[in-house]
Amino acid sequence: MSLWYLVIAMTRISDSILPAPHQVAFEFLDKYALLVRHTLITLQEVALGLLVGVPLGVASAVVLVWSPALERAIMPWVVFLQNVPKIVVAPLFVIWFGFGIGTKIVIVCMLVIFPILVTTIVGLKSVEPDMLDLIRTMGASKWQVFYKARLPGALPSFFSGLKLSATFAAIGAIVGEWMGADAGLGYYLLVAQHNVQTKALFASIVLVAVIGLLLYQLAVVSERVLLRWHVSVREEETRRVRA
Amino acid sequence: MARAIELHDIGMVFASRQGSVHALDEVSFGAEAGEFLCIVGPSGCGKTTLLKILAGLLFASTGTVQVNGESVRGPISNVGMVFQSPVLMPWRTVLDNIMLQVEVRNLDRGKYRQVALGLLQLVGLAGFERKYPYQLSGGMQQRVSICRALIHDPALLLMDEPFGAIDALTREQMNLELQRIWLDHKKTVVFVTHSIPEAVFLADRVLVMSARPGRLLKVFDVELPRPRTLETMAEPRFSRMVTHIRREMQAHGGLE
Repeated sequence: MSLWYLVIAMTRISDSILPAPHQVAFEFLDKYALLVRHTLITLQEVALGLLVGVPLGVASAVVLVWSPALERAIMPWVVFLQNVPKIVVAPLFVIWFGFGIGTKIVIVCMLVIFPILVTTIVGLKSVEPDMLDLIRTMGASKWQVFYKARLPGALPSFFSGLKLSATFAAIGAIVGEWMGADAGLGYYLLVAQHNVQTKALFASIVLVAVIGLLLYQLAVVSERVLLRWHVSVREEETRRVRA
Repeated sequence: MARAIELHDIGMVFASRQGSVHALDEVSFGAEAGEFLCIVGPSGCGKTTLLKILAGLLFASTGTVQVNGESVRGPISNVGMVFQSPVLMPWRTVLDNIMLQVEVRNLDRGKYRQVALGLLQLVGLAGFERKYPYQLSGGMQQRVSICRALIHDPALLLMDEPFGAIDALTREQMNLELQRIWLDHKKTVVFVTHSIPEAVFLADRVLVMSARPGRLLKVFDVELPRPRTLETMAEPRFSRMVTHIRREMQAHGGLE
């Protein structure tokens, strides 16, 4: 923050290029209602994208782990698709799904699914072979093996994926809005850029970051509640108790 | 009446990318109900494989397996298994780990909860039922896995080096406890170990296996009276037996 002020003082840079932090803060107060409106729209897109994308990612992981043949057939294509930058296919989605919220949700989904899919697959597969043997001697059905052993064991991996997805999701919504929108932080960013409203740009950047942070924290909190037994959470708790 | 277990001419060949591995060759043995068998042999002699074949978790390349007179064609279920590591679920408490056996088998939870608590008492873990595995030492975790193997009162107990990762003092304690449990419950036990003294201490009969491919070299009857105590291990006939078995293994290149 002081560095920021120092740069401004030394270079006498115009506030239309680099506004000072307090100017950005005033921007929040000035345009409060407007910023909140756009933020809520972007947040809605991100949330809906996650609500559709995360279950879809988990469900696909379950199906692929259930059937190794399907995994061999499909996984190479998933990896191939993942390597197509999403921004390149975004215009296509606009043609398919229009300028409404649908396009934004689809783009968020695409960004969210891959990390969830990959980490959940790893998690579902990481049951100890001895545990599988043991539970088979108990006469467990395939379903019991799945929800007693595989599913709880997959949670730590799943949460790594969820944390990645939470930070990617905002990118998807912004890209979607850039393709065509009449509201949302992505839209607001474009308008601000067009009018060289640097303060408004900074304010939007902060808000996009806040959305990402918020979702990440949400993932962290649910992880702490659900994974009390896991070594990563335990270590964290011990440190906090000591501190 | 059929014998508790009966293995006949078991052979096992694993195919792998590096070629096939001949793990077991013409292994035959059996046990009467309530008998305590120990299998000793060098690392990689196929002891674990043999146990898995017995449990129906692996299929032998040749030979037949019968448990209580019935051919084994898939995982058998009237069995309790204990592995070298405790294999507990980290997200379940001690009690819930034991109850896994009950849940999967759809047994009466209320009734077996009491059985589980009784077993915890038996292995000296009363009051630990709400702890998580990470809050327990390795020896305590292994006791939990023994409770899990016993709760449904199986006729057969298969133990694969259960005390291999436990320090010597705790190990002696566990051997005493296991003997006591076995004397109380009279199950058929097949117990795999690296330790000859442990085998002699626990077993009615010690089966000695050779290095790969695993063959049954010799069977020793242990006629030490029960209950055996730590003093038993100091007796000359105990050490004579241990030496005897060790020589047998050395003669076949089983020990370095």
